[in-house]
Amino acid sequence: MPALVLLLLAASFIIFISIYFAPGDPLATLAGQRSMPPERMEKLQAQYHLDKPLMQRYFLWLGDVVRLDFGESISLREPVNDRIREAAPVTLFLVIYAQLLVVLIGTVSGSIAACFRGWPDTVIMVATSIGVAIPNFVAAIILTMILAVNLDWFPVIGDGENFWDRLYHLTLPAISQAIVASALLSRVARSSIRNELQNEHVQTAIARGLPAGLTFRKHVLRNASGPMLSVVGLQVPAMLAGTVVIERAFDLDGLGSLLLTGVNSSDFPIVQAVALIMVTATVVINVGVDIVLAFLDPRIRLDRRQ
Amino acid sequence: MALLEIKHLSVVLPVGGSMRPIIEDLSLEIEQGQSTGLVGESGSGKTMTARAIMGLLPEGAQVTGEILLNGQSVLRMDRHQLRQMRVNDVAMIFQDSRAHINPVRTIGDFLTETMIINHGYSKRVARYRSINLLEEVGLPQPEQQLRRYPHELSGGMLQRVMIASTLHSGAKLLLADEPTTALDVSIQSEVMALISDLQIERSLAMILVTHDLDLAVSICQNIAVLYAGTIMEMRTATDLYNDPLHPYSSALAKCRPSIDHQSDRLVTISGSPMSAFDAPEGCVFSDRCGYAEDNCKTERPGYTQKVDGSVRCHRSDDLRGDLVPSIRWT
Amino acid sequence: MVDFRQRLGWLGILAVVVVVVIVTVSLLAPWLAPKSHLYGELGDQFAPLSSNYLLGADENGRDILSRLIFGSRTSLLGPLAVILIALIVGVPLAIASAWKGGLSDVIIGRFLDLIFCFPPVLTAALIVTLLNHRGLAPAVVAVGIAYIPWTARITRSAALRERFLPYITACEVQGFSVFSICTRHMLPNLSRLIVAQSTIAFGHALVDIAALSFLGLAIQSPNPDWGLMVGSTGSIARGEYGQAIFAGILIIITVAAFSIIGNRISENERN
Repeated sequence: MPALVLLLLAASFIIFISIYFAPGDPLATLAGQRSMPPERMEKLQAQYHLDKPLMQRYFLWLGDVVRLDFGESISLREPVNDRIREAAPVTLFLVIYAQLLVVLIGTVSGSIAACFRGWPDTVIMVATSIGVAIPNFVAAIILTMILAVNLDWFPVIGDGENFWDRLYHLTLPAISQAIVASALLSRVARSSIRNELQNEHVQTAIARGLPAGLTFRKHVLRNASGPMLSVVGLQVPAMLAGTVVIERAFDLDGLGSLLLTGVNSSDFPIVQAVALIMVTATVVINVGVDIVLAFLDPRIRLDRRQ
Repeated sequence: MALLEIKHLSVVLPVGGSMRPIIEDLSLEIEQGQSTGLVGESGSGKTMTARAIMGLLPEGAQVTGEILLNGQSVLRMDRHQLRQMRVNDVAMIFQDSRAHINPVRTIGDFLTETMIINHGYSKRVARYRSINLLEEVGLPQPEQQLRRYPHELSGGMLQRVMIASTLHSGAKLLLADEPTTALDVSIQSEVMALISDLQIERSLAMILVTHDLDLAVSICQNIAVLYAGTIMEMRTATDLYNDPLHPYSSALAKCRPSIDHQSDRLVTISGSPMSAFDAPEGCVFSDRCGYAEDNCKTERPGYTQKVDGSVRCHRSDDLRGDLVPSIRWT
Repeated sequence: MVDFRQRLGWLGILAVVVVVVIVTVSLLAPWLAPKSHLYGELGDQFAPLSSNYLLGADENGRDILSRLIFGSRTSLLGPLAVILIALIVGVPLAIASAWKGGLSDVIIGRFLDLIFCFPPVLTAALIVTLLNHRGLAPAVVAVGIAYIPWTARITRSAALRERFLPYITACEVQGFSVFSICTRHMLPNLSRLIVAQSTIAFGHALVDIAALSFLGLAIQSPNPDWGLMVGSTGSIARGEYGQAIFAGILIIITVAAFSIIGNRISENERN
């Protein structure tokens, strides 16, 4: 717990202090090298507490940020918070959708490859070898070209209105994002499940007459899920970063697009806000994964306590 | 009708790239309520025999012969019948309980899962039954044990849990595969006594797979001595120990040093134990046997029934009386 | 030669051939490209595949094939720089961390955790916004920093295994300095692993830099780059997927080749 908070503080400090690495006056950087009327400059100065000493500035800034007050966007003249509130749901939907696909495809294909030798195994191994080499933006272009433009099965761009429309619109983006991660998960699942299948306690379950399906779920899969979960956890920063690319490829109005908008208009408040959100999400999710891992294997819990 | 009949069982397993025989022409009969020790050294095929009875042979195994449990052929059972057999008729105690119990699930889960899934008990009843079983096997504080995980219990306690799990199913045949070998010496006799008591109380038939001839003789009514995948001799425990019919059984008995007799040299059998696929032509024991003659090396002896047991040896009639170990057990 | 064939398998050999071809093409680009990779004939916008434009022309009338050929340079140079940065910073940190153990190990570990929170896109976004400069340099720095934890972790676990092996202890007992033990004894034994992992990482770095170009944060038009070509909105908006597909396929093939080679090396090292 304290390690988590420390990490977040350190990361936020880096984001805070990064502005001072820019050449010239921080105020000018914040203003995005634009010339602005003096009142706005003063407002900016007050907003970022630039008249106060550095550490005080940091804590004031931190106070604002924790209350989700990210200041006002320079280019858009509206609170950054508003834009984030609009953009976050799309990104959230996309990331969850993609992650569900990863878990589903990875686990199922890995299980099949582990349990059935012969051609299913070979096919899946080949597919995963190829899958790992397909970056998300290339997949996006290929899928768009084939399925959206040529076959017209899916919309090319946009993120949809209601839930079902959104599901429809975000399918190709989610698939593009999920390919590499599900290939990786499939391999890890395959080796982890293969290992577990050879464990003696699985023999015991069968010898006691437990049905095969239940034995697989409760004794094999459950025990094998540790490494699989670790891989999923490691994929998280890549997933979050990947949304930037996917949102650009499919013209989605999420946090990733917002980041790019910020960069393209030299709007540091936006960039800073999205950066903070991404970093926080990464740390929180990693901690979450650790917690679940401890829950899955009681032996880890005991080691921790000791 | 005997509870279990094994007739001319042969098992060939894929090892590396080739097919290797592990069990050859093994025949055995177990009656209800009888305990039989299956004694053999490593590679003799004793564990494979137990697994064959449960239908747990590894993939790719080629099996010939017959295993009849209550008159039904195990080798020809489909998946459902095998499951039924494992649920109702046969129970197995494994050697290394720490490896054979799922480490991420509680002891309670281990004990109750078969009750709930195979026999349809409710969770509450299953818990209650589990506590009773743990008391029967002598575990203190059974309610608390249910909540513990395997790594929190000692090897001896885990083995008792394993034993407890075999008791509720009403199985009539118990297979115990080296149940105490992995335990500390001080615990071994306690656990073995527990198994023996339970077997007698519930009139269970039992096959005790072990490499320890002394142990088998002290617990079991009958002994079958295995070597290189086949039975060399099968007799009642007392008869076998006092008057062995086969040179191998005699040698095994002589090899055990006795605590009340001092000797200058430990007795050994020259050579090392082998599996069926390493065995020579003719009698499998011929290259290590002190009594081997020419035809022992060329002709495989048949499994002959005698008055007081069965033996696989060309010379058993000649050697009668010579094979008695000088230190007797009464 | 026979030894190579056994160790690589036919797939490995194919991968090596692919890499050799691409490296050769990038080195000989000026002599191989049929037309200019920077300038095009406006009248030849979206020219179809022909003997004149072997793979067609893009939205500015530039020859796609020539751009792909020259694009191979940044696609190879970028990842190379990334790996160098990651190794130069990561390996010494990892070995020091593994050697000293204790508090230094923990501190360095935390520091690496911190870097791990910042994916390349984020760091690149910050750099580009603050320095108001786009190009290969900021991209390489951003991705390079992001790869430090990865190389450090792998090197550290290998170094930990080596640390207490008898040959190292023997050196310590003989009074060699820590620095010379690490550089002259431990490092060579780790080098096989480092090379294998770096080869695999090369492919990933290629993808990461291409992604940044795709976003417009790295290589800028009119300079050619595979990532940039996949993201060419000028073409895609008008339904012309040609250069995007070709560039995309080249990326896939190159990444796959490096992954295969890297995997083969690490398999052999384990044997």
